[in-house]
Amino acid sequence: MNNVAFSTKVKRTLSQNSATAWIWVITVLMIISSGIFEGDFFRIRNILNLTVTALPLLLCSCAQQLIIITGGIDLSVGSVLSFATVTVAALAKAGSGGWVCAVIAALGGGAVFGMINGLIITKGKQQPIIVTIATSEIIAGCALIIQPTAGHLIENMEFCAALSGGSNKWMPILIIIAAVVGSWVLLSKTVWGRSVYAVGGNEISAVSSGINVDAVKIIAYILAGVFSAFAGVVQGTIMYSGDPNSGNMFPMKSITAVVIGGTMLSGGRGSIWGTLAGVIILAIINNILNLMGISTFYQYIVQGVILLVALMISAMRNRQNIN
Amino acid sequence: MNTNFNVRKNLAFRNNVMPIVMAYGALIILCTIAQILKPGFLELNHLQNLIKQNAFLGLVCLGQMLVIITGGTDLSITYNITLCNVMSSQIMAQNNDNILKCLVIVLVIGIIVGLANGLGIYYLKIPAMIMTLGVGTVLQGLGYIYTQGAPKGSAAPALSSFINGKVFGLTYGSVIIWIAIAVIAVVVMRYTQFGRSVYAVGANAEAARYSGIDTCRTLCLVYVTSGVMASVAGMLLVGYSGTAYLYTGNPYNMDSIAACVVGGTLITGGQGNYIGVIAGVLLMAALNSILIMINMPEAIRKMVKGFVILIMILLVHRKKSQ
Amino acid sequence: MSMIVEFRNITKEFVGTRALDDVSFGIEKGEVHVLAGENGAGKSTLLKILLGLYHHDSGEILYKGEPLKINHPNQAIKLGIAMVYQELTVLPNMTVLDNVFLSNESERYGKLVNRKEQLNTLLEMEEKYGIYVDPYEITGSLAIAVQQKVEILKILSGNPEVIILDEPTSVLPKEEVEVLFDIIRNLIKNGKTIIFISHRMEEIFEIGNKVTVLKDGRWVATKNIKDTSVDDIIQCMIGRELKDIYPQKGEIGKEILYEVEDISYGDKVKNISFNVHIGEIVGIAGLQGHGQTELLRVLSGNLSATKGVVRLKGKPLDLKSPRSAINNGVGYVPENRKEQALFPELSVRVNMSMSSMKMRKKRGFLDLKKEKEFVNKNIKQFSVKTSGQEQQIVRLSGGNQQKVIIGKVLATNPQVLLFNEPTRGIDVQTKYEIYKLMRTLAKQGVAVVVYSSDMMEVIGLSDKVIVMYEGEVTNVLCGSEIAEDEIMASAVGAQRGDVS
Repeated sequence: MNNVAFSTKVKRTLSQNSATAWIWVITVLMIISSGIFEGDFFRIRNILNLTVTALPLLLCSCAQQLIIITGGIDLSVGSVLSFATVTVAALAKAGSGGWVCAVIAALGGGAVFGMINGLIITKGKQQPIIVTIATSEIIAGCALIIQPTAGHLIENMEFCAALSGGSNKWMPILIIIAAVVGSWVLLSKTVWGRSVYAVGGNEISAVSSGINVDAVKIIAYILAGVFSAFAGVVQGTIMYSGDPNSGNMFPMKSITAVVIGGTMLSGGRGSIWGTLAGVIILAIINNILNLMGISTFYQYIVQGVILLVALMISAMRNRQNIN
Repeated sequence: MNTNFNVRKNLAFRNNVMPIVMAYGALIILCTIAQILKPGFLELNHLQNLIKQNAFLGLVCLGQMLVIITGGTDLSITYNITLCNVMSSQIMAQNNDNILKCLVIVLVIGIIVGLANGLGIYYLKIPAMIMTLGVGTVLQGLGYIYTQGAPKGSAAPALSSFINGKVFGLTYGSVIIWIAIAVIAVVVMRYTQFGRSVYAVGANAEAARYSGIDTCRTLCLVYVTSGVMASVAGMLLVGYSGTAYLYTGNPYNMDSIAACVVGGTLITGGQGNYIGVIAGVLLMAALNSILIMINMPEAIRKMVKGFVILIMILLVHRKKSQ
Repeated sequence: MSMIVEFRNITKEFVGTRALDDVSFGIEKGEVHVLAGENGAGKSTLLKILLGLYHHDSGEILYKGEPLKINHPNQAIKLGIAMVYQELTVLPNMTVLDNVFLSNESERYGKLVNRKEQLNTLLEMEEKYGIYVDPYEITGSLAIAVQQKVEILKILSGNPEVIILDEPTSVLPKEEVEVLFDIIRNLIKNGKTIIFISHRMEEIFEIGNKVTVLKDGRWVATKNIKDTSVDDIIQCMIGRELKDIYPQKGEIGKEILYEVEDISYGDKVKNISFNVHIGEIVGIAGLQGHGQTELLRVLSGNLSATKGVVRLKGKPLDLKSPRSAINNGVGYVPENRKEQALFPELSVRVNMSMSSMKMRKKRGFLDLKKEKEFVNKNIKQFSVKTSGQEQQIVRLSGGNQQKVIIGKVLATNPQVLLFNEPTRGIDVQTKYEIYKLMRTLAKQGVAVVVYSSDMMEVIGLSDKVIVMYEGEVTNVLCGSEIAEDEIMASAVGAQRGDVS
């Protein structure tokens, strides 16, 4: 049994992760065809641009993935993001180290909001969908209180430049790698990660296997809050300002990215690598539309259609699996 | 079978009545507080104005209530309203002759949106929230494209004066429409096969199937109703404000869910009553009005909405234990 | 030759019934001890007590000579008693490796799972017990037989001494049964004790060392397999009196009312054919899980048959959905009230009128006055104990809920009435009323087909008995041929007169 041939191992890994594999094939095809049709696509500047704009979505999608695997959904990721941007704008003072308090406050806030979500859903025995809709409103209100309109500049310019690739152009890519690898380690390598898949797969079996389902879920929501808040910190540094409405499209977009990446909404399965591919696909589509000069209005339709198509494909795969 | 008193608490009827009584009770309390804070709140004119403003929410809540009873949530309402709002103002273009054409177009949009939602949810087994979210985003895009960011046109005068003017000197046109819809709603839920089927599908979809109910048709009708209510509201809102805005529909997703939940519609499905929803709408309206009166910014109003939903679901809607 | 588990005078009562009555016997270390008896004999109750899921009312259990005092299955597992349930608990989306080591509670959440170490442990176990499964396969993609092996490995990771297997062969194809038995032999070689629940005679005689038969909650016998025979065991399982009262059986007409011809559904239901004459009640007998539910679901339009045809008065029936079945005169009372027939928070009235709403309409609207009259009539006719029509149906007792459901089904004026476990969880009085109702309907020309896992009930009710085993009809008995030993033998796959 130890000596399973390498080729068998490769074959098996491919067939188990066929969804992810297919998504990556499509992603690579998209990258290549973008390069062919839009001459500007492969310019370093464009690629870096693409990376920076994709970063907040990636972080939000990491958050969303954790929750979807537990079988739930988090519609408050956008509000937490907005909250984080205005918190950073409010607290990040000039000077070295001035950003520390701001970032801690933002991430801490995200963790607290996540914990509240988790507690209400587990101990209050409520459905994640309606709870996160309600908390989304509350958190959005908090963001509006801190900063009623967009445009409050972040004082600590160096911090912004550092994080969003102004001073160190490789920073965004590093953050993406850190986030994806971090999520991967959490989900595949830790006891908690394994429990998340168990809880999402079959809660009753998880309970009878001795797993503390409530604790696992609460931790998931806390982590999701932190990821979303981090997304907001990054978003703020990209805009060099805070904006209480910046997060509005993120719940939808993050769900789209996760579903494209092959994660099923029913929970219990999904890989962060698929989600990464989903984010890349969405970013490329965005980028192409921009390069082609198509107005942002069409992007909404494209987003919506992509989500619906991804859901349809997911549903068909689901039916195939059951049969 | 003759111990009527202590067993009464188990009546299915009572289960529906209690939340409604609570909602109306809270409404009365709230209005009293409002009257104390700002005398003149309970003046007939002011109340009528309040109802006139919120009639549109009332219409939309009928659809949302049906959707929630079947166990889902309709998040396409916001952008459905916005799309129909901007389209209506441009189609009517201040011309009474266009009203009929506009109405027909708006109805068709509502039906298509509803069918898309219903069929997607039934056949693809996509959770209602997500499906309607996706459809809503497409509608959002359509709204932007149609207006290119700048809504044009304005209401036909007949519509404006109907909505904003007093009919028979009694009350405003929008209120009349709401009352008519309310009557139809209550009658349909109580006295038709369709109404029963909605409750059945929400209470136990599998049992409904075993009992011979056409679950697909029920779901599609539910979402079509919601779609049509939203699209018609979008058109009527042009009459109300005179023109269209790209942010018209924005509060309606949250507000409709909050009003339904406050009005006793169980988020887990199977229970709900339009009379309660009316109380929910009026309650949220009164709450909003009070908050504006005491100069609370939009941020606080948002938070209050969220808290109200949370409190209601924690109090009343425990997840069914497995 | 020491007893590892000893039951002494175990009694357990649930409301109204005695599930276990003074049961005493012992299980020796290192043996394969078969626990036999039909559904409801008390086997699972007894084992649930052993596992800490229930608590016995009187008596005691000795485990390794010491009295067993546990309240929770986790305690049982720590002591070395574990069970492989019929419904597998392995998670389909996880790898075999992850599933086997899922329940190591001592681990902290942040700890990195040491898969290398786990892999080594797993491979050692596989060698030791002869259970070979690829650790990296996704469990859900494996055949059920292999998933079962994963479940066994999962249990073995906790080092149990007593392993209980609940009808493990019911999900296995024939080839895999022998593989399972080899695994069991390996487990025994390694010092484990196996408690094996089964009613399949072949298996009992192949793998068992001893067999204990329970009947109606009482211990009947414990025998060495070498010293007994199939007939012997069947005799132990039967010999009951008709506890309940059944209405007198009726006269059967010559005309065939309802015909089931060659119905198949995958491999769960294989070529079932039978017919129902006027005035006849046909009972389907057999132990649970042999295709009876699937058959009834096909006959009621809930599943689509892969083959075969059903005829009512000679005319083939359109059964593509429950609605078309109902419209064609087929009524079905399902086995799981809560999930399949009740609308819990809705009232008795709404529940009862759900299937027949269109019959009480006035100008397109529901005629509530007629509906209330209809429900009142039914409540009186079936003696439904409720405080009123508007009572939430969850508040009614099981028996009364069932009456409402039967009322709902009858309101569509069916000509064929299918019952699946109609008296499960119902009091004696209501049972009798339901039996009377069935007989009345049969006399009125309704084809009545009943499946019950309670053999005595089938015997008491039916004019004709169809015995199903593994999806097939193994015996058809009419009138005076109907006898407990015949049915039991066919239900366990034995031929009458089988000596082991």
